Amino acid sequence: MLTEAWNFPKSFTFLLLKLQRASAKHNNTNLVLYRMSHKIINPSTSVAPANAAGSTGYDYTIGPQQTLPNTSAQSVASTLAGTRSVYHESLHPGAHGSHVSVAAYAFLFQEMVSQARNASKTVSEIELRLHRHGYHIGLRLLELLKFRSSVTPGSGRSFFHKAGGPAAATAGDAASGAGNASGAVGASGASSLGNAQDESLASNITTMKRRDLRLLEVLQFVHGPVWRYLFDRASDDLVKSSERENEYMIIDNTPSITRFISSTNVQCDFFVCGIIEGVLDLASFPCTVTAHSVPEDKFNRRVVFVIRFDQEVLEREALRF
Amino acid sequence: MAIQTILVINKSGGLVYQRDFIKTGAKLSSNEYLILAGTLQGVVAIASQVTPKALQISAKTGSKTANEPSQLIPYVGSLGAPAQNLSDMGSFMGQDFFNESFPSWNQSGLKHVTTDQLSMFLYQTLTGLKFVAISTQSTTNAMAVSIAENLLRKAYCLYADYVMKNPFHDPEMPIKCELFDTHLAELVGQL
Repeated sequence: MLTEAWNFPKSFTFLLLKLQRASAKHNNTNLVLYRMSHKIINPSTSVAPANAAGSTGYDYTIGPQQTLPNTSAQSVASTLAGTRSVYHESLHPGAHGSHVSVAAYAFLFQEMVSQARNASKTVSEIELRLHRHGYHIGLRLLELLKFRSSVTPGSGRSFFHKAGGPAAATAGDAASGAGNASGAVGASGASSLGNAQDESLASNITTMKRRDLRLLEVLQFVHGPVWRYLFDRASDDLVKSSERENEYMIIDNTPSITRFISSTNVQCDFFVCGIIEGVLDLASFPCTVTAHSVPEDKFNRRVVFVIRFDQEVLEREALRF
Repeated sequence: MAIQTILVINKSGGLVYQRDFIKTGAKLSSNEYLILAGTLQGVVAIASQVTPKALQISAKTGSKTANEPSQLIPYVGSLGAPAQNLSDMGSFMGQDFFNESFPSWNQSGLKHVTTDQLSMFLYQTLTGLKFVAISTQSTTNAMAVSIAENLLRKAYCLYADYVMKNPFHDPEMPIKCELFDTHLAELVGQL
């Protein structure tokens, strides 16, 4: 009753993924978000499917069996998380409600910080652990956001109407062709509906967006699309350091994920540092990112993310173009 | 109504937070505050025992059927006028932390103490946490009680945001959260 709000975007699903992996590694954690099933290896489709669901893999009465790649992938995905999971969801930018509860996120982040705190001895070790959590989110974000931005704008509406039901098939989307439309109408189960969505999403992409090659382009990408995806707004400023050639700064006046945390010695924004570093690393701009709290008169929780690129990045920038 | 002090007492009767908002008035030492917290906890417990048995039973059976409207505390609007920008509302939506009347969770315990100099209000949460406000005004007015309950419920909302969502706070331990301090001061200052 006291915690209701829906004004928070999402690195949420990524966090879930991340924590799921973490909880698989450490059995003592209390953050098991999905019930992990160990029944991964399933017999092939030549055996009756009812038996297959109950077996634990190798059945000594039958002997070794071939597992078809597509059937095993399906069963893994379906056993992972009951009915729906993040693996089932469409990659289409308009496929999700774009917000998660800030309270739920805050509690999740709180648990991450205290997990890191319990496991480490020094302040810098806590920050390093948070940084590492964020890094893996960053790696995935670059791929996902580039993919999403490649989808032709405006395709979302027709795309979802078509997948939604037979009524939309009459709308006659010329671009995607009759084959896809009839496939979507015929789909009744949830999984086959997902397949239809994937197909039509691919048809919505005419050309993939090019990966950013220039330093400023990739920084703009972090400042804009990444920040909008994570926090629902672009970051407040992107500045180049006047002192050092390889130093850039992204400024956030009101950091969202640490808004409830009052701590002066541990900088929890290192989680976001990790995300930035992951994005830039995968884009082949190796760097180190640190967070510094720099309060200003109006924004007393202002955070500056300092990005220091490796020397090779600058050399490459100077070489080409 | 000027708030002199706000206390938070945990469910086992320990004082976890104490803050004076008026610098001048008579001051208690920290030890005296601890004793006050323990005493209040005891008095609340005894008060609920003192409640006549018949009333206790009828309250229990009555709560199952429906919440009587008399148990609801009215919402007092524009109390501690909401922050200028909505982003300051933490995880709460809208204009104010809440905007409807709410049931009291403190039906048999102590709610209100008045002396000639001051009055003390108690707000108890469902989990046994107690918020205490000491006001420099002596009042027996029912309106004042409900205003105080509204104020303390908002303090509870701040507690939910800035204390419970802080990974560096240990439950049941003294509250040392800078953000809770500043927001509570803001809330009391806007009265």
